[in-house]
Amino acid sequence: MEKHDTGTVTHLLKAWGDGRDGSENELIREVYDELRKIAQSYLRKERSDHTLQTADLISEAYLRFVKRDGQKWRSRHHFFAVAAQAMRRVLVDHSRHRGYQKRGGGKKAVPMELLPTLGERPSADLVALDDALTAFEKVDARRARVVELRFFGGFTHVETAEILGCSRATVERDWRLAQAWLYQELSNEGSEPADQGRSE
Amino acid sequence: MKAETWQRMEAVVLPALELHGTERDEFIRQQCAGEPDLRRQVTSFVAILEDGGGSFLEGSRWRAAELSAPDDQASHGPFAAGHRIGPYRVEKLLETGGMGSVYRAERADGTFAKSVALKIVRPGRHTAEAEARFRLERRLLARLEHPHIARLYDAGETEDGLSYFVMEYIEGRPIDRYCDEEALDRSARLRLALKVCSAVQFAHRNLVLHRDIKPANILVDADGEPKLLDFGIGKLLSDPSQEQGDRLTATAQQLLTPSYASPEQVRGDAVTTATDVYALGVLLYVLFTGRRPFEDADNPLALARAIAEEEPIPPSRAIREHRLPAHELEGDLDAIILLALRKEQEQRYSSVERLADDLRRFQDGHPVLARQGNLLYRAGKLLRRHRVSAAALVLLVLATIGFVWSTLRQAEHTARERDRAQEVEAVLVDAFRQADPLTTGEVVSARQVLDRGAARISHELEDQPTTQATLLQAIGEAYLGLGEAEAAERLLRRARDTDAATLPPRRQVRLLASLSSSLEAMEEYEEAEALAREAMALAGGLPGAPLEEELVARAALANVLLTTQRMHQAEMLHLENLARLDDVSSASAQHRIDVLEGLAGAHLQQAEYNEGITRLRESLRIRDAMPGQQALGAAISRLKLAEIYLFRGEDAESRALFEASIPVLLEYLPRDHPLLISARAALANALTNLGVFEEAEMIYQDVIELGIQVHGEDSSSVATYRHNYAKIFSQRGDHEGAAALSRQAMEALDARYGADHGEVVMARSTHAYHLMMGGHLAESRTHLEEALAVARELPSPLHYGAGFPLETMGELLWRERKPTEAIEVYQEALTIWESAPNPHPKRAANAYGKIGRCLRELGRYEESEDHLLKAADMFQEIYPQGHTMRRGVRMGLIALYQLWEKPERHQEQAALLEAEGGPL
Repeated sequence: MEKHDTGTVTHLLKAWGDGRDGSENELIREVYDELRKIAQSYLRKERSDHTLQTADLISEAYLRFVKRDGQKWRSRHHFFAVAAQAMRRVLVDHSRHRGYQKRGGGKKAVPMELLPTLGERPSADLVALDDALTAFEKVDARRARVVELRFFGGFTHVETAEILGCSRATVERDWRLAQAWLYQELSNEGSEPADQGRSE
Repeated sequence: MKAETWQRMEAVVLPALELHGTERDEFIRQQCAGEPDLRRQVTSFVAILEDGGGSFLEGSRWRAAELSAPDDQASHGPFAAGHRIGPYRVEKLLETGGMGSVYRAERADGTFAKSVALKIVRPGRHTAEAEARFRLERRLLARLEHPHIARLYDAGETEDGLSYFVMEYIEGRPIDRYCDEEALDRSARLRLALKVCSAVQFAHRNLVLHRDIKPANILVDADGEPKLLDFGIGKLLSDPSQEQGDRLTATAQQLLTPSYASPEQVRGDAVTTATDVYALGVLLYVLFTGRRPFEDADNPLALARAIAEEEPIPPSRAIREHRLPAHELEGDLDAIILLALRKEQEQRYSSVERLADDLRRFQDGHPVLARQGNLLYRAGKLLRRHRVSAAALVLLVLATIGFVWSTLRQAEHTARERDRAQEVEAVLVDAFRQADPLTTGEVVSARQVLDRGAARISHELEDQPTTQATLLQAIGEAYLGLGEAEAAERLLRRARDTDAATLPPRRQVRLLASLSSSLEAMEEYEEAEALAREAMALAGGLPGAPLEEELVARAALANVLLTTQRMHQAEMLHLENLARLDDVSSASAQHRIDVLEGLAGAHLQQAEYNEGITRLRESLRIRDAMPGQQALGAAISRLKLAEIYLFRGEDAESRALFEASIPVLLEYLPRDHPLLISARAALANALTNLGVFEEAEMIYQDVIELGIQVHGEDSSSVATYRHNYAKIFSQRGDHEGAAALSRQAMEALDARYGADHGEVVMARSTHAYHLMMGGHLAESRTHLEEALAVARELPSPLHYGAGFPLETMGELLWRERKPTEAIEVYQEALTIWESAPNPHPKRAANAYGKIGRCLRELGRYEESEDHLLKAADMFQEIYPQGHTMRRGVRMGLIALYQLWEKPERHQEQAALLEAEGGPL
């Protein structure tokens, strides 16, 4: 496991906060590792079927970063946004890996009728959802963020609104629209691949 | 979908949602006029929203498993032949299990030719603290060198976070299969089981629990020797930074091998040495009956309940067909196995050693403890027994020579303390149970356990001061035996302060003597002496003049006197003890051994080596005539002899004695016992002198590390090891390194003893020697002059201590091109090396050679020839053919004859040199 240099994280966050978005990917990677660690410690402490809110994990990651740095940064909201993205990768990577094992590597569209059971989440569906979300980002980046924060990050409407700096009503509306968009995209997936460019 | 399309859709959809029914349809139609595609899309999108598609991701919760690292599993194997794991290459998959897979593998870089067993496990450590703990335990495991334990060679983590262990690869069959296939009889099975016990016992002494003893983990190789695999690996797998770590390991093991789990593992309680005792019980059950104690259970849950609650069927009634006849198990063997299988840990054998002892008693046809009722002694019974064995105890008394003697004494003490310690142990059993030495991951935890026991005694026995004092004394003396002087002192003092007056006077004598010994070991000489004298006075006034107490008290005083350089008085006291033995008919062999060895110490401290050797040989004869009981004592006597031979430069003899005794000591003592550390350091010294540098260096590095842990960075022990280790650097030509090490040693000793101590003189002249070799002549001279000034004032003028600085000074003068002065100094050294009663022929021969060299330089060829020839004759006696010294002196002679122009003698020497062999 690579070593963490939180100085680097802070630096990256600042750079990101200053609007230099090129650092975002590195930043996500750092947070990604941290989240996995925290998740693993949950795994060891508790039963693996224990459910938890991803927002709790992100808050824990945040505390770890802040504690280690010993300084507050202005970009707390940015951290959460980034963490939500990182969490999305964590979940999707896991799901992709499992799906890969189950299906011998092939990627398959998710039949529509499985979707309503997403709450119990046969986790292979996440890959399709991720693909759809990636497509959505290209169409409507802001609303895609909302999905990331609400769904992967597990933040509430109010928290999401705070992180994005908009009103709660806007978040609620965006969240609804985004879900419908994704739903539609997933329903169509049987006939057309969501993203030809992705490789595994 | 394009972003523009979506923007246009959105512009219609959002207001449309505010409308209902036909109004909405109308609105959409209006907005999408002339754009049928857009209209269709908007309509369909609104329908999705109406159907709940706008909330299908609500209420998401994730299972922790979904958040874990996918890579960990991705690279988890199985791997094909040729796959690289760290620096290893997979040859073949051997087995897969719930906790990982085992491969046969080899070093990919070819540095290690043998195949190894490589075990892959899932990663689980992330904090630096946990990492450090992991490394410590790995080190403990790596030290488990035992003929019946598969070695852990290496462990590590690959780049993608996969942990692996590299172990000795054993080609063999599981022990149960082996026994059956070879149709072994009862006694052969017993012998195998005893070997397994010895391995587990050894590991326990090194603070390692196995936790998963089962036939699959014990392979018997082609020679019929069993080897235990996977020692302590279970522990390494758990994450000690998690409080639940132990419990998880236990759970994991249950899942793997429920049939071999102990009741405490099933219950999730702490795992201790008693867990391994239980597992050995199961192993015996399986080996003798072919069944496991609870194998009839239908499912894991029922099995777990049976393990926790049901009594196993006696082995003699569980035997499978075609096995041993039932009568071979009935009675003793049944009792032994069932005792090991007790549900409650404290009702089992208190140690693997006791289980093994009982098996041996059975083997030898003696009555076994398991049938003599409850093994654990109640407090009253314990005390009665304790009194008896206390009376049988003679405190070990030995003088000190160099650094080794004080630890030798403590270990000798240990030997006899063992019996008592076992009884004390029963009292401490609860304390032991609570502390698994590995839970804390600290090497010192054994001591913490004893501390806890002492604390319990203080609290729980407050109303019984005499009992309390007795137990404190017993534990304190056990501490002393373990080389823990400070802990001993603390407890013994408390024992005395508790209510010394109520103790029987004879015990008071012993208490004072033990306290004196502790203080002496702590270098608190004044109080140690006062206490020893008090003990003497008390012993002298006892009715009936009991021999034991008299010997103990006198020997304690003699020891303090010896350590504080009053050798003659000390010797007189020991001689008095010897005389008393001849008067008293009740004197035992043990008494005689103690006194002889005390006396030997006094002789040695006064540089009377031949007398010392004589006394020691006499004691060794007595010990060797008492087979069985004296293995440890005899090993220690050999160690002392080895020390003397080492000091006299008889390295081969010394090495042989060390190598005969160290393995015996390892059987009895933990690896970080002060005695073992110093014995191995002394062996390294002998090896260095014999030119076996690599082995010596490995030992030095290990003992310095252990010494720092046990004695501290500034201790005299560590200083000694550094002092001697420097010699290897010097031999390799690294004089700066040697000087740095020897300086560290010298300064530590100086700070400890003061400049006028013999050891400091020695260390200073060594340091000066290394400085000289490195070319720092002036600095070297300063040290040598100081060393010589002190050495000439040492109590015994002919002490070897003065010889070494003189020799070095001679060499320095030679290098400063002052041969005349060098000769004078060498002459003085020669008087020391040649003087009766302690001639040191090796050093004397060396001095003759050096003088001859100086004379040659001065052109005094005839005198030079005399000295060189004398040296050559002496070397001929001392060293084997081809030895550097023999060859060196011949070359010196050849040089002489060249200068002197004596061609015939030159030829003669050249021929002799050639006869030595080796390069010219």
